[in-house]
Amino acid sequence: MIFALPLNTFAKSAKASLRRILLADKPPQAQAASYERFAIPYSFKPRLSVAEAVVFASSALLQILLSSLLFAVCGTYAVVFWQTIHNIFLRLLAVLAAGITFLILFPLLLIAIRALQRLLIRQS
Amino acid sequence: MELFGQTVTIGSGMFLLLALGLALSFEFVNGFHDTANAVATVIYTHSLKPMVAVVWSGCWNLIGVLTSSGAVAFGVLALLPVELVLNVGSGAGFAMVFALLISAIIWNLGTWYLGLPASSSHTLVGSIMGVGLANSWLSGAHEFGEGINWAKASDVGMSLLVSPIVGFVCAALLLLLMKAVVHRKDLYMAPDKEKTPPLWIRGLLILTCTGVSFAHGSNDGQKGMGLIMLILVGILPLTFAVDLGTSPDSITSLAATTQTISFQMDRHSPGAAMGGGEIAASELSSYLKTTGKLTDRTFAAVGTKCREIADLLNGKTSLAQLSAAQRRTLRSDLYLTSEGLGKLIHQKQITDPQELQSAGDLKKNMDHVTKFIPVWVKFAVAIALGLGTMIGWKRIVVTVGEKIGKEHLTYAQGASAELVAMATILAADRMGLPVSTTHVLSSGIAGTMAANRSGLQMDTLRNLLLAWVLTLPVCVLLGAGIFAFGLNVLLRFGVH
Repeated sequence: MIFALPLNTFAKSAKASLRRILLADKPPQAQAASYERFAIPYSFKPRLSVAEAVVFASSALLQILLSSLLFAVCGTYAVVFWQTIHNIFLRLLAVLAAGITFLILFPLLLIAIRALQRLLIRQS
Repeated sequence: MELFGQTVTIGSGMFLLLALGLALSFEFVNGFHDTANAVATVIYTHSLKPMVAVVWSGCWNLIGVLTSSGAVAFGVLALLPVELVLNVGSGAGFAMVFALLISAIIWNLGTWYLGLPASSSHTLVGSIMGVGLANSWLSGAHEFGEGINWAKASDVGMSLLVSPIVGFVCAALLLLLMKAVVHRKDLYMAPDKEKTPPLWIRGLLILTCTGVSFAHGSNDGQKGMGLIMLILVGILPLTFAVDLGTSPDSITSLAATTQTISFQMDRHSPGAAMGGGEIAASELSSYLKTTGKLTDRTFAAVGTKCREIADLLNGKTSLAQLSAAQRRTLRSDLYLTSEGLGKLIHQKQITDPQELQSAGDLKKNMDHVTKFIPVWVKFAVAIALGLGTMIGWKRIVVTVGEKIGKEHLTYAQGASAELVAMATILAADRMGLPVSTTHVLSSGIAGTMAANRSGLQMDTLRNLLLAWVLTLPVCVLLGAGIFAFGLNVLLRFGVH
């Protein structure tokens, strides 16, 4: 009981310090105008700098270009398989394989570009 | 491999799918960039829940695309240099298509990330002008700037200046009129977070949201369709150069009318000899340039092309009976003759009423054969636009709803701005003016804020104006740069 009070105070103060170090300040809700608090929930940083916007736009463009390229490669080979393989079972299997390849590589591509984007943003 | 009944190499097939993927991505980006125009007011006034509003808007965008005529699509293509449109299967043609798509996507993405509602139409027109400029610069046969439709450029410049003023003034006046006529306090109050608006206000806002979404789909969706048709004609001319579904009656009628018009054209240029089809094509191409002047051989060139079309179509009951080369020739001839007749009519060079009537009818019949959009293209574009609409709406909605005025949008302000935007698009469609929905709506909201004395956020307005002014020059530069780069790369790989 003798040590409980100072320990408790110490723990509270340490927790507060750790919180200050690890977590960003909460948005100053009280200072915000009423219209700013009356918004749809954001799922993005609403105010980007031009440099950040350039990184985000470039990565989105890269996603579009590479996804289109992936779609073109998988799509073309799906058509080629469909037209050249005569056995119906093998034909379906080959087209399915092309489709699955696209479905696996597409999200992986998006994740990889998103990771690169995060790295660039952190560095900038 | 075989695609749509035409044998192509694997490389061409991949190229086609890549281009289609990019064109659909352009529409997708267009969807999430422009949706805020339609949904911002219904979301901020709690007339509809965000997800419901966005899905509703996406569906109306989709319906708009599916019911569109295609006139805007081909109107946009008419801005491109004639020789690139006719030779879209060449290296320069492909460089053009990729430059247009990539530059428009870049600017739309950039402005979207910054939350700036910039105009997608102006983005595309800017890219087209850039390609035209670079094309005239790179090909020694042209004067610098010859490929640009300067009349259209000045139209766009004018709309850039006028449309925000129209939106600002009209929406402000409408709000003041509403205040004078409708004395219901709840109409002019910021929406309650917990309550939906009265039924009639809700109905009005949902109606305007529907109208703007539909108009956006029917107008903006067509730009992507036009680009996709250009790609298809370039890579698969056998299937897409002309509409193979043209009825035997239409073919017979087209053959007969072109024969008649050829005699009428010959009467305008007695004694002007036209050596052959190629000379006539070059004469018409020169006339169609923005700097092209009417000469005594122009009418003869139209007459010669009409005779060639009649010869090609005589005795045919289906366009599928033509060989691949003949279909390509027919498309070029129809395009040149139709555009040539259009310019002659526009410049009032045909004065006889009967001749004017038959020339106009022929132009329409010719356009039916070359300016068609298959249903699957409409569906693909509609789905891409609809999906885009449902995904990326938040960023610009926040700007439109929160960052223009210093107070929250009221029901009356939302309704005024949307009504003005809807009416302006419809009026612009009728007058054929390239007005931007984005500009009208954003400035409309600013107008209502000013009329309501709510105050304006000058930082946002400055950024918006800067983005609007920069759209055209930046897209011209992007379009020109990417076209020149693409052309160089293709030439290096031996593609001509």
